[in-house]
Amino acid sequence: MKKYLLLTAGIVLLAACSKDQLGGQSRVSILDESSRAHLQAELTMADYTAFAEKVTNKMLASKLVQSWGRKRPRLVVGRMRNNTDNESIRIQDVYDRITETILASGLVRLLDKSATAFDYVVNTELSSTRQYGPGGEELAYFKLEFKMFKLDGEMVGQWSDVLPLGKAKRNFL
Amino acid sequence: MNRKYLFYILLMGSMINLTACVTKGANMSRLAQRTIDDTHPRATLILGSTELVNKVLITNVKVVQAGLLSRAGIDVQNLTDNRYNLEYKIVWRDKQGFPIYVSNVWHRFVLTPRKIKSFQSTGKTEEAYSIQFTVRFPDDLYIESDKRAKEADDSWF
Repeated sequence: MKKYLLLTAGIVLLAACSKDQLGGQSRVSILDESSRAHLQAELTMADYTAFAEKVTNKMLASKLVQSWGRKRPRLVVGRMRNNTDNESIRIQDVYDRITETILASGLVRLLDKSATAFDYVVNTELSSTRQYGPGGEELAYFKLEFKMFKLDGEMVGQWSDVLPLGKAKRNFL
Repeated sequence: MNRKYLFYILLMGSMINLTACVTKGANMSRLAQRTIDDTHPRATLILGSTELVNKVLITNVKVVQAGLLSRAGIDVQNLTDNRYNLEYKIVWRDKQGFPIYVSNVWHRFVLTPRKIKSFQSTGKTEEAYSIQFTVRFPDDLYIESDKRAKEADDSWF
């Protein structure tokens, strides 16, 4: 009986020594939605938002878009190509972030991908490069690129943004 | 008996004093602090820590009209020989001061010694009028928990 009591006391003491405070007992916590926390060198939902914010910044600030004024041309955002080494990236989420931002600007009439009559089409592509170090270090670069074309195929704009993610050396202790 | 009354009077007096010390902000746009610069009519600039005051300067703020939208340009200058890992966020507001609800997140950047880094942002709707620009040390749940773990380690020894 004494043995069991000692064992239980030991376990309780060990648990009390745990320093992992994330979210208290459940170890789950709600994060700030604009936080850029990463556990892996992969994109998070906040990164999709950052990409959409920065590339549309560049697009909306361009001379071409400024010249539209209140004309509100018809725009199609084409299907996004995933040219990264990760097939599981939720491309539709990145796409939705982009259309949400463009639509909110009120500068264009956004048409569905299946539309055949439009003024401009934006082709989007997400690509990546990756390098590994001997100690588990990792360096990943993600790039989002917009290319805008007229109906006759003339390219009228190109904007991109790069997000580098670095993972430090693995710590064994 | 008199002493008892005196005690109660003193207690009430100190309570009234304490209440008077509470800052009431309902009718203020913000409380003036060393970390906040609101000298630009269309920009509020915030340093996220007193440690950054006189070390990092937010400067050369421009808010102009670009077509139908507003466009902002901001420089962040490192006044020291230290290397700073920081993050910034821009929130656009309309003329009444309400935030424009287009999702935005913190963006990390590095300020090498004496560097001046420029940032630009376009107000994503026609109503966007002024900006709130914040620079702070990177902060997220894991950075915070690492910090706490380190503090716990230090207090152990």
